Amino acid sequence: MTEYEDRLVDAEFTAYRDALVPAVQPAGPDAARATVRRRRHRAIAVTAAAVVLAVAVPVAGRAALDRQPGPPDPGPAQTVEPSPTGPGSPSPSTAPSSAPPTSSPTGSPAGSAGAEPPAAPDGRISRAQLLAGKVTLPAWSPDECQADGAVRLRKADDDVGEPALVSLAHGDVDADGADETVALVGCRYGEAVGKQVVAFDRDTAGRIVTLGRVARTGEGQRDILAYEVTGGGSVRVRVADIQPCCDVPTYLTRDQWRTYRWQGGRFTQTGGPTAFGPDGRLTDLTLTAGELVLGTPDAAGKRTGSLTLTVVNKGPVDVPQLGFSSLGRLGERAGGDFAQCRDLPAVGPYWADCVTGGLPAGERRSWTFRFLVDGPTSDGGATAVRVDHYDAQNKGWPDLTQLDNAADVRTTN
Amino acid sequence: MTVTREPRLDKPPPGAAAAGPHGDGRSGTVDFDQLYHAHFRALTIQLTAYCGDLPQAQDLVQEAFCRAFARWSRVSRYDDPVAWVRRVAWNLATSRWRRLRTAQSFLHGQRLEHVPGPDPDRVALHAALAQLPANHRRAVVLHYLADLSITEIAAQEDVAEGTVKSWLHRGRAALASQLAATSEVNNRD
Repeated sequence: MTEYEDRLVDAEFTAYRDALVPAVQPAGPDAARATVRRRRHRAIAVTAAAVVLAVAVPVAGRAALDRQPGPPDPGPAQTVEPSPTGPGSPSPSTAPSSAPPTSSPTGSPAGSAGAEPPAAPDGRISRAQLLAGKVTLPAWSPDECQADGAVRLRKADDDVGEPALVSLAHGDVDADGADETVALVGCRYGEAVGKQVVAFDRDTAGRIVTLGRVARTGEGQRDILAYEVTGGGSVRVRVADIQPCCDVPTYLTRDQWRTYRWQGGRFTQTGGPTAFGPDGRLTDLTLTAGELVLGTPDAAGKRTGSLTLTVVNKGPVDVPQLGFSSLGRLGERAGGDFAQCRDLPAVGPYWADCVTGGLPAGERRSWTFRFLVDGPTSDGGATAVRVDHYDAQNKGWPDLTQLDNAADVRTTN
Repeated sequence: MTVTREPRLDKPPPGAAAAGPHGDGRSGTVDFDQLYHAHFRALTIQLTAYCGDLPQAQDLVQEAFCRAFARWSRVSRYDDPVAWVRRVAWNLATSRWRRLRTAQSFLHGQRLEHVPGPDPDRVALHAALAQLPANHRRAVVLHYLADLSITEIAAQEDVAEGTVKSWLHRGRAALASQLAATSEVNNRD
């Protein structure tokens, strides 16, 4: 790399830029506004569809909506019974760390029905109280947020790096006979929000103290969709593997209910799966491409050529439909296996040039497409084409190994 | 807001700089219209160099600005809002899922009609860029047209800086040899 080369390339780009500037025709910011307005109207019009509703409802709303799914909590009975020993029995623990490692419904000395007020501090904190002063937050996943320690929670998670209170619930999670407050807090990073489920209590002086973190988002579990405190004092959290943003389809998300209990001074998982594992809906496709060899030009200067693409489905999942993309960049369709191509109905954000029949796991298949190419082609130029997995509902799916789904096609004479 | 080094090729149309009737999009710290006018052309030229197609590049950049406007209250408060728009536009350009089928079949063969007059330099660069692998082409375009540093390109492409250096080195060398060959041919004519 000589300085001459650098200057040559730089000068070419400058000339390129100067020549192209007058040709650019911006549609204008008003057009962008109009587009966004139109999309919003359209979004409102289709909110009746359940799928869209699930996307549009914010997390706080989902926490309320999604109570019913998931296995029943294995925890004990729903009510805390008055202590058989009655008032005057040893006071329940006031310090969370000295709470019994496991709770039983009858083991909580403090009664809710008794005449005596519960001796444990009331950890039932309102939204306004939680927002009123600083609270101590456990550490976030370092790649998501740095604002832990004493912070004042915001009302909304609009600001990057500023923790906010998303929602809260109440329940006796440390079996002291009094309710604590379980809150979902969020901290925005870009288009996504880091989240933690945190339990708060009060100390004997009535100050808000942090009991501990129930669960947080991070590598491998990027979203918390819902949570609830069960009657047995467990906290159930609905964790998702990804937090889809922007163009990522929401159907890629997998979610699990996981159960946590306050044991030995911290929350530990007592139920539900502990990891998502590999996504059993995905498979490994591999594409290999030959060259697009062009014949001699016809009277109009157009040339035809054939390209053979071979796809192997290494498994483990059968693919109902295969979609090829970027074929249109090679030339016009001129027969061959283009006859098999179907257009994909516009049901999702995914799109392919040509959708063809499927490929069971473990099988290999080749297609030969014929192209009509107009005018001179840049000799040796490569165009990347790729193959993707579509299901029977025309939804596109990522691949277990994305890199080998694409192959460079060289056009030669 | 970080002052971006991106060449500001655009001027707002007459009168557009004055406070317009649009209540929305003006509440942030950065004005949407200003950002649009300041960067639309530069971003479009970068993407034209990358995908070889001006109308398509215009569509991609317009779409990126639409997405920025849809979440403007947030994007406007980023340190460098245009970096967000640029990244979205490039993601759209490189997305294997993008809806290009219609656009491609329509644009094929129409490409030259959008070029205002023959310009050997530009055609030569276009042809030379088309020969590069996509990664090298992105690195070269981001370096020479977007004036991004190695670090910034690495951040946008989500790869190591060493990878960007290698892409840039190889892309630049390939371009230089192609362009040198072309200019030799032209000089002999």
